[in-house]
Amino acid sequence: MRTRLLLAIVLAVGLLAALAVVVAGQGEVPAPYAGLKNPLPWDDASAQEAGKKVYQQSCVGCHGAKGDALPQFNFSAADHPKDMETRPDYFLWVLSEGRLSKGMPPFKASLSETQRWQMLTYLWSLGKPAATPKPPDGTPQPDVTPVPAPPSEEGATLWVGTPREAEVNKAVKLLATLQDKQGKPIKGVAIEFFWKVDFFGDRLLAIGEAETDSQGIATLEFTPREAGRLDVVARYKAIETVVPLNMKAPEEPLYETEVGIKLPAPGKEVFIGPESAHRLRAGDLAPMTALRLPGGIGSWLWLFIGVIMLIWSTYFRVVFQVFRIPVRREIRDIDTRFLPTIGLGMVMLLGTMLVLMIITGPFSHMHLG
Amino acid sequence: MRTRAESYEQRLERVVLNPLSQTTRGYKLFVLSLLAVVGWGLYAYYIQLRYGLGATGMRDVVMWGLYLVNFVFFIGISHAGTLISAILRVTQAGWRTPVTRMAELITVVAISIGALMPLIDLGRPERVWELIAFGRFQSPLLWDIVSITSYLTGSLIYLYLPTIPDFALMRDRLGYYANPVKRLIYTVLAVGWRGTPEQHRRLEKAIGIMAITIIPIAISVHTVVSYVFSMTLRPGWNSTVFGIYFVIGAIFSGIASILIVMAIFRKFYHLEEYLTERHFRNLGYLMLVALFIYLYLTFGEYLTVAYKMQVEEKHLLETLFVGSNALWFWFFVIAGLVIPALIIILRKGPVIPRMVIAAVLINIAMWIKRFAIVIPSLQVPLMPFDFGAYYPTWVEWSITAGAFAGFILIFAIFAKLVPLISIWEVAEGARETPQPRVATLVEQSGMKPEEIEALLSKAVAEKGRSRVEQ
Amino acid sequence: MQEKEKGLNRRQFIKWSVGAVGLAAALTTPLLPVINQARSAGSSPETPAKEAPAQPDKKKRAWCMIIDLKKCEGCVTIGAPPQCTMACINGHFTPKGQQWIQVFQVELSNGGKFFMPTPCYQCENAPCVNVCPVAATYHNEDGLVLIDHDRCIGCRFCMAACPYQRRFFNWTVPELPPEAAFAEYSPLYPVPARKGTVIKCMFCGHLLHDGKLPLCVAGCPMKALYMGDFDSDMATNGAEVVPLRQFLKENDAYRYKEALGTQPRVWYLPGHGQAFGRTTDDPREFKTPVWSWGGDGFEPRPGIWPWGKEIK
Repeated sequence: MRTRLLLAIVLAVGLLAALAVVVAGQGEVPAPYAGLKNPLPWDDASAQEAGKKVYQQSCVGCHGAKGDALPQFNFSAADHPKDMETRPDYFLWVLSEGRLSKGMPPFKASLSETQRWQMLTYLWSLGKPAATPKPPDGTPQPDVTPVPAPPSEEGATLWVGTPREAEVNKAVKLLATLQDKQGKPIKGVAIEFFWKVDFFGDRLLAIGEAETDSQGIATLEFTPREAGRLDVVARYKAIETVVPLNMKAPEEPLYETEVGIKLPAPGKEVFIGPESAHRLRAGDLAPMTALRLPGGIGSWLWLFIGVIMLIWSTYFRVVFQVFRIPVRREIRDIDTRFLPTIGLGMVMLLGTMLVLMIITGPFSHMHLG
Repeated sequence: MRTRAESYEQRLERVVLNPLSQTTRGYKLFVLSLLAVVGWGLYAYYIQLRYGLGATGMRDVVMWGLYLVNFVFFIGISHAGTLISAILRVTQAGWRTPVTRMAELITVVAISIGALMPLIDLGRPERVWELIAFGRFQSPLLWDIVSITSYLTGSLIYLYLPTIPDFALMRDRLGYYANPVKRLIYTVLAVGWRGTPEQHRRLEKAIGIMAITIIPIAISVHTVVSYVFSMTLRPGWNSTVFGIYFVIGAIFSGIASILIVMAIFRKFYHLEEYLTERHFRNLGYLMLVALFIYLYLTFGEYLTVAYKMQVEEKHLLETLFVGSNALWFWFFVIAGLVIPALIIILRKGPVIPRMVIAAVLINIAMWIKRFAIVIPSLQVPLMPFDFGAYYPTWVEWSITAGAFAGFILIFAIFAKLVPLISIWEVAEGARETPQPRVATLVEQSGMKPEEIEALLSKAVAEKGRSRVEQ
Repeated sequence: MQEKEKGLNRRQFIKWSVGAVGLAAALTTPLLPVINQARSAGSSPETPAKEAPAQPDKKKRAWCMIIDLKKCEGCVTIGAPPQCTMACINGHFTPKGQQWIQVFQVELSNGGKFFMPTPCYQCENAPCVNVCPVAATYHNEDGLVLIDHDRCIGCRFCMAACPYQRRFFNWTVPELPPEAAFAEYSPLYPVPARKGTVIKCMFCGHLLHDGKLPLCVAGCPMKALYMGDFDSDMATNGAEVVPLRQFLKENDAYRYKEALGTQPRVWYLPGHGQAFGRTTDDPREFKTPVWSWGGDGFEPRPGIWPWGKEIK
């Protein structure tokens, strides 16, 4: 027992040591990169902006919008900026040469060295808490909530109105009013509309464009398909207005799978079993068996059940005939009737089992609701 | 040995029961060698259990192999029996009586072996119970289970019922000086049969019901087996004709198997008097009818597909007609359809060897045909890649050999326990209808049945068949 | 002897009662799992039921995938095996030989080839789900076709039924790297693979509700794969979000073998890799995926004779 324990400890220590060597080996930066320092200041906002652009094109897919999609390389961790400051050469090396075995492509060829440093500067900023600007409140109107954007350099203001409450999958009318410094409407310019979505990361989804009319109002209809608070963004040049939209959740899922022919059901489904048999087990494990008669009492299954019951009751009757073959007393040195009794039992057992097999079963098409 | 005083029934009993009371050395050796093959098959199955299905030649593209081929083949053979004997019984074909017992025995044994095959094919055989607990009736496999269970039970009952009087006979004849175990078995199985009119009435009624019940079940079984294939979107399988195609194929190979079994037992059990040329000729003609229907269905199946030439079907036909599976396909056409048809139609040479040769050819060809149904459809690429490859390994061949040996073994053992000719039915037939010509002549003249057969066929040649066989 | 007084033969009594018990047992067999489950649900006080993993996003989704064939270059441009397949292999430790998302080279009529990545199509009218005898493969509420490897009996009927050959079988115990053993199994993340069961792509169901893209989508350097949701009508390739239905319509999206009626949830945007200027005589070579942990996969098989090659 003790030797075993000792052996285990020795093994564990050895393993740890090996692991340490491997980890240390990973951190060793090869020649062209070793010792390089970031030429840009870490908090350079313009460099961060440039890095952000590249990041959102090439990195978001794996690393996520906040850089936290991969736990080994969590850029939004609090200690991450410090890590980058202490060994920038390592990060530049990984970024340049990639880690193909782990799916990280090399960027040496596609990005210049400055661009790569800009990218790292942006990654550094991900670990710093960002101050979120708050949209200014607007004056409520009867059925729309207009939110003005702060006047831009040219002094124009963009007001956006949305309905107070809207329903998912119903068309929503968005009104954007563009006024110049004097409060006069600007006519004939295109306003772009976006929608802030959280779909595998926060992104802007383009809804469309609309042109302002003589009163400076651009109207766009769109059909949102997400419940909860939506942020609609209207943009004219550099002016941007964000307005919240409260969407009521739909009662039914918006997408219904259409499979098969909908036959008129003779009745409501008969279902005997725990309610959970309607769903998958926890962790999406295979569903459980329940007694089900699709179509209820008038189910088409009766056809099969009837045929099988007919067949097996015929078997029963036939074996019963054997059972009733009269046995004369003088040859009953052994009671031979147990054989047909066993036969009857088997027939009953098998027949009932088959019928039960037909009417019980797991429900496997959860997507059909 | 044969005396004039021995009546027809006495001789019938003596001839039929003789093999049951004696065991020759040859028989023992035969059984031992079969046991060896079955044992080897079991060893191969152990290897498969140990290493998983990776021990077979099946892989992701061709994921079903010999086991499914054997499954279809054995279930096919099983049709021999019950379907044919039931149809003949319902149509009251008088000549059937000596044939039915063997046919029914083939059914029970073949269906037991056949039903094992999909179980051997499972990747997780220890989870078979889930088929009962979680069975989905929407799956064609469940239809198979339901109909095969029904068919096996029905066939067992249908085999057992007409055997009761024979069991009683054996209980009375062999019982007291045979070994006690045998005596006990026969006594129990005879369930107190005394041959009273009341018992006869009940038995006949039961048999009559079963004969009618078993026919639709037999048809459903092979239809459902074909549905395992035709419920998929595969070239060659995606076909509406598969149900009847499989049923006819099953009857076809079933009759061929009966012919082979009949010829073997005729020779070794000396049943020449009861299994006459007439039986072989009649079954041969039935087989010819099945052959032509099968030929017609095969023709229709491939023509309708070949005319349209959908791309996947084209690949299938290519591999079947000129590609890597052409050998199998044309072997089936020539050895399974053309040659047997010619052999049966041309009537050159003695009847029995002719029919047996045709039957053996048909059974080999039908196994290969099942191979050509299952494998090439799986080899056809459904995605942009090459044809799949399938080379069965020794594990699969061993299990296949073991299954065939097991089939023969169970049959050989049954043949020692149960009279292979239904004594009471043949005797009854001889009593009720004018005795078969050969039998009467044997009694009258004391000549050997073979000599009388020869004389008869000479007479047939001279006068025409109808007048001799009334 | 009391039995006799009651007028009941003891032997008969025993016989019938044994028969009745047997019959009752047989009748309830199909219901056993139900009863067991009901019992385990009822007796939660003493045995606390295993907590279902908290789902950050409980919304019902209708996942789908869009594959832009214009952008897919089979990764010949970066001289590496297809990165979607590689990400899948490394993320799922798929047994050697199983490419759950496989990139096929499809011949063009002018002699060239284009690349077609093929995951499991998660058909809405899935032939595999329809034929499974034990509901080991099933649709979950999000429309993903999953496999429960504790239920699968290995009959391979689903593989025969799949018209896309997107299902794989674990013919023997697969050779996997040691890390695979630490993975927590779930039908959404079937790792490690189990002997004698069928396995396939699950759209990385374990990542989706956590707001993470499937490994192949995230791994595609060309951003040719999009993950979409019909319920919220959006799709993203990791770089941009597009309105799903509009996007499919504008790009003439099609589904593979649509005429079969399986209703796959994978759409292809037609094209032959034009986005990267591939020509028919492109000399760049398509590289087949490699398994970093090596091994022979399921390839070694016994020879024709027992004394031939060895079984591994």
